Amino acid sequence: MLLSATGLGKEFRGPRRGAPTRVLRDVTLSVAEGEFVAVVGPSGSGKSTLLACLAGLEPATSGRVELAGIDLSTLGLSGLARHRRRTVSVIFQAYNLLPTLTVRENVELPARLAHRRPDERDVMSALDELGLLACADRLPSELSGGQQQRTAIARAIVAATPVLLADEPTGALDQANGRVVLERLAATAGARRAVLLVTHDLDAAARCDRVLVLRDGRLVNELVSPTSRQVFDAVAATT
Amino acid sequence: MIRLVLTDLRSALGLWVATAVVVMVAAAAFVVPASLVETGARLQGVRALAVFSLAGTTTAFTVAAASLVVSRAASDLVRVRRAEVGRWLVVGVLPAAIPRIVGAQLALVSTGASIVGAALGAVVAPPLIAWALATASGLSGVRPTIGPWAIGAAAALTVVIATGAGLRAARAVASSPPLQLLSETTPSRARRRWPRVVGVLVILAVVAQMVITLPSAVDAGAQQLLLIGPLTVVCVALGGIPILRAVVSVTAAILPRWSVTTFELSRDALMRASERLGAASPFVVAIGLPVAFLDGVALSASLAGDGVGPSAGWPSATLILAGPVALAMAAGFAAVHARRPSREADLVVLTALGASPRMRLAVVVAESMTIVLAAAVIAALATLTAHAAALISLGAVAHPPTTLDATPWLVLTGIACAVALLASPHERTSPWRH
Repeated sequence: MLLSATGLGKEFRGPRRGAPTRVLRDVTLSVAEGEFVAVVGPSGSGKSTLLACLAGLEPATSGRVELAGIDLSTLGLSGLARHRRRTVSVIFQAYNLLPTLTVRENVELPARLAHRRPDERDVMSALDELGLLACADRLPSELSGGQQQRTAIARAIVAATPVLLADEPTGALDQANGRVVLERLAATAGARRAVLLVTHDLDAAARCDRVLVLRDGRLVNELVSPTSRQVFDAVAATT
Repeated sequence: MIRLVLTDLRSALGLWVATAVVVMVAAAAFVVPASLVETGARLQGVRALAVFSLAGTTTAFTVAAASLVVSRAASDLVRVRRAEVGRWLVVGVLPAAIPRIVGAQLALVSTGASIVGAALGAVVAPPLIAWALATASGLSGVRPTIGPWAIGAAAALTVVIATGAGLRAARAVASSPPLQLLSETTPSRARRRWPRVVGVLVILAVVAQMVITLPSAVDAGAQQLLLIGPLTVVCVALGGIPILRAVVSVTAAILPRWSVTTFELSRDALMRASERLGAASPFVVAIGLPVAFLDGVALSASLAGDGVGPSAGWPSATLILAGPVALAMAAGFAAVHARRPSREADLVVLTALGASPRMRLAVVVAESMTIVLAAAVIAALATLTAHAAALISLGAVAHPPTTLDATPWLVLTGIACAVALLASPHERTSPWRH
């Protein structure tokens, strides 16, 4: 398994005193090489927090997360950064592009952080596929929301890490671009990577090999190659 | 509305603290000329005139510096928080209420800060003034006076400047479309050219007048020899935006590349980062004023040794420049600090993409060095230009530029301060919360 969580729990303490907020409870899942998995659920069910814990960007309160066979809790700050750099790419819902870098520079950044020279062909191919060639030298502030999201997607794809985590990657995209992105993510999984997708888009979820349904921080259902209708019914059953 | 005023203060505490520091330093600086005026009023005849003359020069420098710095800090505070104002507008706060809210916040913060600053000034100013007057002919033994009038006037003036600047910025933001305010980017400052042009021309005229009259003023103490350099530095900081950009660009280009640790990949990106910080101009002044001043002291002493000019009254010149230097440093810190949240967001994203803690620190150092080195280079160039102009005017061309010994420690101080401000722990934040 490239990505796995066992008994994962996560609590947050707010700025004011009081009981901590339990966001994830005893979540156990795994994603193998070549799998394309979706996580769905109502708002506030803990999807983004789950992604953050799986990416090693939030420490789990309980349980284990393993990325490429390594338990993240055994790594220190530097070790975690290095392991994350080699193993996982994240597409953030809020894009999180660096505002002082151009589109091209943002896409090249993960490779440079990993002390690799970015493959010019890969970069240009990703930009072309996502319709960003014309804006390659623009800053994020000069792009629309959809263009920024596609830049974030290109960044994750070019990074070519074994695991790719995506938080609502089609949220700001029109149908045509959304389809292109989903096809690309599916192809990425087909290229022996593990792809986990958090989405509200039931049609997007239905394109995945498996769909995990989250409610109140718990995994309550798992569907294999479902239809959109089945995904809808599973999510509706949680509300 | 009161709840909004207070909760907003709490939520952006760091920004308000940075603004309060600037206001505090300004109030402390204002106490010096206020005290000189009070002291002169107690004296008579030539001594009174001498003290009032010093008061006039000090007031001019301090008021100019404080007005620029405090106004900028207050208006920057509003600009940086335009997204917050956008949220207020979309939920139904009336545009007319925005200046009232911001004005109330600024009045509250600046009143407290200026009282503290004026009190600090009341402690620091007397020994500083006494030391300056002790070496001035005919004024040794004069005890500086600081009464409630001086302290109150210093505090009140600072509050007025801060609140006024903040209100102007708040009105401008409140009249903007809310959705535009909610977009993530902070716009670059609208370059109001004419005040800068007027300021630059006035300073250039003063410097030219000083240079031309230098030979005849030598016997009178040649205090202007100590001020030509600092005024040139201020002129460049105020009007030399193209020069600043060029120097920042070159500085970024020559910084050593520790493999990929200068994450911004390119000279252009480092320059963009520095521009975002907006701290280069204040650091030019903060580093340049002492460097130029010390160069003037050394030049004056050197010329006196050759019989061309006397040792100038540098304690009184120190009195004139202490306020502006402190203000410039405070302005630099406030400018860096105001943009800290967005810099923290960038560093968090870097971490998410795989940057190690050492790499992040290297990034911070690279950006800090870009700003401070650029500021030091500009300061040195302005100083040498002034130095050369003075020498040519005096006909004393045999003297090479004097040492700029102050530069290294000033640069190190600036870097340390910038790094301390820019470095931030990443554990507290998550890319999902930006």
